[in-house]
Amino acid sequence: MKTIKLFLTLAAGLFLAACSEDNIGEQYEILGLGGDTEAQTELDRWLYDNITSPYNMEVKYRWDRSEVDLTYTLVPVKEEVVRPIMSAVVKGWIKPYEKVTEGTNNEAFVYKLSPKKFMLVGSAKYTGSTIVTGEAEGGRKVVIFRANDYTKDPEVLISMLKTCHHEFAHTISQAQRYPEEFEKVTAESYTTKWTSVSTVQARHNGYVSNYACKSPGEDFAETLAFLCMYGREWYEDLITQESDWYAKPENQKTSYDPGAALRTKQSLVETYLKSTWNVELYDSHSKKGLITLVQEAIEEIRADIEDAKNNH
Amino acid sequence: MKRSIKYIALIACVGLLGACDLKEDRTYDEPTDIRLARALDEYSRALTSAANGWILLVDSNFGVFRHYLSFDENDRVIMLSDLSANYTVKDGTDTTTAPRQSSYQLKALHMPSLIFNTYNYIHMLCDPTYSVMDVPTHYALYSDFEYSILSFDSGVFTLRGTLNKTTAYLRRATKDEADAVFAEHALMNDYTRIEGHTGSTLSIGGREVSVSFLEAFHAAATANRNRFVDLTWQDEAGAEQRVQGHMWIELETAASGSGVPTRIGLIAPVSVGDVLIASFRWNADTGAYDAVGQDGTVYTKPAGNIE
Repeated sequence: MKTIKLFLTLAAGLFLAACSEDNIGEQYEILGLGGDTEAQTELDRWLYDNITSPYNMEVKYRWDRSEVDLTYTLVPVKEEVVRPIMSAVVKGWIKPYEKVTEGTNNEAFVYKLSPKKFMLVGSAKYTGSTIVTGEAEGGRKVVIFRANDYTKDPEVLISMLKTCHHEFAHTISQAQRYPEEFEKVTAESYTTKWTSVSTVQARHNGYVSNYACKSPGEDFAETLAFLCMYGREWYEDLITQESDWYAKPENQKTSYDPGAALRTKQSLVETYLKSTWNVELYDSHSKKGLITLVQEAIEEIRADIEDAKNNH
Repeated sequence: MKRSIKYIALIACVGLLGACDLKEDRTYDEPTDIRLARALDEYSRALTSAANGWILLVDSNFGVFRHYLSFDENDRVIMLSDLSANYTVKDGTDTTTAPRQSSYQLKALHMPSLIFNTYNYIHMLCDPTYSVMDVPTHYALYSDFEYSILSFDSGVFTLRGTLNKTTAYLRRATKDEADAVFAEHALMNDYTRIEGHTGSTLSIGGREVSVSFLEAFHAAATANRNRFVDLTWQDEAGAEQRVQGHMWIELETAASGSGVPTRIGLIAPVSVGDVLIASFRWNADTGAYDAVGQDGTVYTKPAGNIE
């Protein structure tokens, strides 16, 4: 017992003696903390004035592997394609939302909910079996691949704009949920194995694309993006085509008519946009709707690409 | 007995605690961030102060490519490349004569790194887009455009690629070289000059070694040639042996020009038996390239073979 007391006294003494006020050492700046600093070019100033300042979005075009997949063979973007691509993003995605809510009580909502970062990558991402042209992370960041090809193939820009509309649909539906009925329209055919579903089969099941089969959330985003990018007429044709296909008894494998399902989804998207965000999907007597505005912008963008090709 | 053990334990504890030394024992005198900042500053000053620019040799799975670079203090780099000298660039760009500007970055990653962060000629080697070059793979030429700086000695940066771990060397160009690149289009002409001298037989370490430069890339596109040197010989048992080196051509200038590039370098030496071959040197007497060993020994075309 005595020994233990002696031991504890010694230990306590040593612990107390060990206390001292040490200097934490030399203070220095951690290199790179706070991000990269680059010499500003004319392009940087244009991006700031035309994208970052008015729309609160950062455009990252200088290569940063930490923003993309670390293992794929990818290359940076050509500086000369950055400005036309971002102009097209504003023209084909932001402006239509701006115009359609002009004069409503929800005028600036696109600025608040837009993805905050655009990353441009020069080449596509080749995964072996697929070519990835766009990616998005939780409504915050959009990565555009294949940017260097935009004058060679207008579909590069179209696919990029579709990615913007798709991601924005996610963002708005996370802020205000889409109607619950939307999930029930084709509830029986959502599948996690959507990659093994062809586009044709997906449409026979009442979806605009195979990716839409993945979940109701993706279905909602794809439906709105396809409506904007391909227009009302295209969607009406799809409804007719799928209803005709289902009319044949041998094709009636789902409990619902895929054409009717597409019609219900279209109507739910339209109602949701109007009641929640004051966004008219279709034209009214006095005003152009979102689809018309996007379609007109796409025509302009195609003309711009042709001009760029000819000037090149 | 029990009491002795307790005392021994007590003394041991006190001894252990007393052994603590509060002094810091650093491998380096200064923190990593300070050393990194200083290194990057040094590299930046070196890159931007080179009056005649730089010659960059980059390795790939298809051999070595030469680039001429000029860096400025606003993160801009101007580039020419010997890529189109014997590779098909599909949009028809002559990378040997049309300077292209882009940006670069010196950055502290795991190591100080040099990154060419917007598109330029160096990226064509890494571009998986089939429409850029006539290369049948989505990995392009397995080269790099982001490099860790392994060392900077005697005006030469030794670099290692981040993705494909390829080797690259960046060295200061001389005024003659810069003039040759711009005025005489040396990046292109060197490949033209080597045509007709792409093979010979040398005696290396008692072996008769057949040397062949720039082997045809693939039959369908004869303009594309790998920047390889192939060395083949028969061993004692009569079996054919073959080694392959990734080659580059030393820039010819007005002063050094002899009609044929004087030196062909290898990005890494190759072994012919127990002899390490590091480069090749033009021999006007034999009308062929001699092999130069790692130790400086010169292996010449045997006298009887002189054509």
